Amino acid sequence: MKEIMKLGFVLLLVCAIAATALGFTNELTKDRIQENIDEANRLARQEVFEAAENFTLLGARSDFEDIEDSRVKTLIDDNKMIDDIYAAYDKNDTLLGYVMTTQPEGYGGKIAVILGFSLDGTITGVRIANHAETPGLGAKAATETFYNQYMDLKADGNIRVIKEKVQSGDNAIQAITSATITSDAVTDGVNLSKLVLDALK
Amino acid sequence: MKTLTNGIFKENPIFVQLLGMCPTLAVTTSATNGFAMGAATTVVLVLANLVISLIRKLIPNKIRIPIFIVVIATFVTMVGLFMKAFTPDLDKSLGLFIPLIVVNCLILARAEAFAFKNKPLPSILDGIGMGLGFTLALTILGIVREVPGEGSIFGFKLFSESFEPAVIMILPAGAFLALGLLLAGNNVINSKKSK
Amino acid sequence: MENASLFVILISAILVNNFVLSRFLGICPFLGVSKKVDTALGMGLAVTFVMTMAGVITYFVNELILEKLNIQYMQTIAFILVIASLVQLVEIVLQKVSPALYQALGVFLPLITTNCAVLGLALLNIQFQFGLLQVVAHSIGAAVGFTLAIVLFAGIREKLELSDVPGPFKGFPIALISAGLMAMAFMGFVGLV
Repeated sequence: MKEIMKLGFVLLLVCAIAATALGFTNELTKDRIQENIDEANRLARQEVFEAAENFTLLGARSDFEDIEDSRVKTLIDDNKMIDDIYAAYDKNDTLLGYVMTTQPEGYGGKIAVILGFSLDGTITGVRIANHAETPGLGAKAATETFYNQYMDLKADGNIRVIKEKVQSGDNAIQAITSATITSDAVTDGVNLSKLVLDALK
Repeated sequence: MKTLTNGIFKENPIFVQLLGMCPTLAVTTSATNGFAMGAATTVVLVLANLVISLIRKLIPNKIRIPIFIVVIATFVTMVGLFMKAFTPDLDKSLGLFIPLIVVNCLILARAEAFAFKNKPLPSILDGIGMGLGFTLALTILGIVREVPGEGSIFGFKLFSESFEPAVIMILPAGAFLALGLLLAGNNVINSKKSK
Repeated sequence: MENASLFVILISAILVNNFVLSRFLGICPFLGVSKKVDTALGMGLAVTFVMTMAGVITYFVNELILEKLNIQYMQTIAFILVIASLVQLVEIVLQKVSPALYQALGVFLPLITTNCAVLGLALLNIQFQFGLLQVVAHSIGAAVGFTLAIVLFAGIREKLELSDVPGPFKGFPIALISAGLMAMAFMGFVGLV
């Protein structure tokens, strides 16, 4: 019995030293890591809204209590899919539109969809971040050929998913073959743009 | 110095001992990735070997394996945090396999077979040697897969635009095939040497 | 929708995203244990048990401890300790309940701790942000996929032992090339789900 106690104690001691060393390393690196994440997010916002120069956070689900604008608070509270909403401004600080991260439920789990849409009701860009969709099928959503379909479509909440080729002027995207659920999910996320535009008029 | 060269040729972790297979097949989709993974693993290997050798007289034999694991896991986490902070692109390409360095059988094997029974300086050399051998093998495999699979080497395009890559080489199947062929080649070289 | 997701996660982990042939997790035991079909099967079952339990326990450790205390950087250490303890537990229980199986698995049992498939599964569950039910589906699927790959491979290697293989290819080279062909075959499953 005494031997087990002694062994257990040694193991615990080693773990404690390890945890301390790691806590220290974490302190050293966490600011830089956060900077990297913030920069990557900023680049993503830039990609979905090329015309914009800066973005300000209007509200994020992770910081729900701190959201100042009550309309944004309601939007995030009512729509489980919305993660965060940013306002997009040009270099003269004129409001151009919004960038939003949504997490619709795809085939294999949540899909992180980042989209930008302008005040005049047009989609400026869509990107896919995290996903667990099937490679070769649903995963094709993360390719340019798929997500670029949303560019310049109307942010009227009614973008359709069709199986055939899209006719010019039609507010629709062509589904990925055999991956309708993934295509629908991403479109659901993009269609939330209408709610945001209406709420923040 | 024999300790050092041992790990590179005679007991090369991948080509001879066949340890550390998982990352070998997974991250060698390009020469840069293979090299980076090798480098990261070498850092962990050397640090772990050093610490384990330093405390070898204090470790109770019965729990030595869990203690090795905690030491290795600590250094893996540290390397991971530094990579996330200072080399985020590499961190993204190597992804899951950085934390998986902790279960790279190579590191545990060296801790058990060498660091636990030897002084710190030889242990450092063993770590460096094995690490270099591992990195060399990963980089070679990375080159063998990247050149036909993407038409580039370390990211530099080799062929003209019209080159149709043999994409299979950067897919899982290609990894197995490439390693199998390399091992067969290694066998041929060895049998010629002993003739 | 939830149920469709669960089924897809399960099937895709077994076939489309097979942990061994597609994700490259669990290669060491895949190449090491697979010389005989019955040893491979025994290993597969042991790993299935450990993987399923590890998947669920690490999920809770992450949710209830790591996230609440904001110490996510302890994830690797915490997870590997959970896995090592689980394997130890399995060893003790197996010794009492089925000494024959314990003997048959021999040194491969403690080696499950270093099986990258187990730790890889735990980490992927967190990365994909799975909920508890999805974690269970994913863990079982991954384990079954691993067992499937390792048993099929053992079958192929048993046959290879009896065939005439050219000198330099004997042993591991031909085994790896066969694994490559298996991986190509499994790629065909991509159209399934």
